[in-house]
Amino acid sequence: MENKVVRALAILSFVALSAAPLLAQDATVEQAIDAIAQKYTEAWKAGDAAGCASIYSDDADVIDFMGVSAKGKAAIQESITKTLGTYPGSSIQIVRSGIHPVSADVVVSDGTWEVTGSKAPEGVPTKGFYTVVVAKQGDAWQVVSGRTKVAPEMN
Amino acid sequence: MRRIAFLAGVLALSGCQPAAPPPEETTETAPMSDEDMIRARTDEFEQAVSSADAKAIGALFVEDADLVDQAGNMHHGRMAVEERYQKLFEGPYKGAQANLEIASVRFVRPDIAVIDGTYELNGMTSADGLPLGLVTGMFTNVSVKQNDQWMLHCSRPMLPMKAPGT
Repeated sequence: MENKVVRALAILSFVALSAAPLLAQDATVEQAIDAIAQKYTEAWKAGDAAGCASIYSDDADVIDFMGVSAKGKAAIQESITKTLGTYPGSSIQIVRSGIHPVSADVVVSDGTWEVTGSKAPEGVPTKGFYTVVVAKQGDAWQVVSGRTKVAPEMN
Repeated sequence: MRRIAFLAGVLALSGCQPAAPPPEETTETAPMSDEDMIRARTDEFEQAVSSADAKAIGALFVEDADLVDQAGNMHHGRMAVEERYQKLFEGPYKGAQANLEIASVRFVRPDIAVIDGTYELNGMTSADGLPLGLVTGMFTNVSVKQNDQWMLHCSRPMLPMKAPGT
């Protein structure tokens, strides 16, 4: 397995999407988070790296499950491009486990991710979990921080 | 009376007036920046882990805080966080010393920060009592400023996947 492949997959950055019960909070926040997730998964399916990256703020950062970071939307898009190139035709499933409101306009969302529909190179994880910090920028909600992880037993 | 006035005059001329009190030493220190406060909190966390003090760790978290551990398990609420660490201190963390290093502090709001860094745990033991080597990982925390104190809202430690062949 090549590091490049691992890193390409590793940069996966996710937002919440599921019917899991939420903590008590404004339903519009929940809808906004789900809309972001929908946008991401659809863009992924279409192989649209720019679409995936559009959920991030310009100054967002991500750290993948190997601990490699990308700072800024352009760097994130570049990483997503590599990932999509490694797994053409794949889909991503995201299951949100919860949303933790930090303030009225900042939430932390956690969940799990899984890539299907494309043969993964040997040794490359195709599932794990994630944490994203989502903040309201003007009228829009954007991901400002994304962290993908794999459980130790997945290592 | 004239004698007193004369003495006073002599003292004044000879410079023997009572010396002006020295300027008071200032005890005020420059207020800590938010980032310095966050770094100090991280040092407190490190100390609490090294001294196996679950209560002290809990005190760094807001009541409604949560922790998602390295295996992806959610621990919701300050008490749950305390219990999580207490179990670790009675198990693999027993006798371990921690070292936390902040890599970045990013303010997504003036009173909300995302903190990334690395941690090292030295002296951990396995379930069968065997010493484990140095364990290193990463963390992402979200902290909020409440009543002039930075408190942990979300804690997300992680063990990065090892590169193949390492």
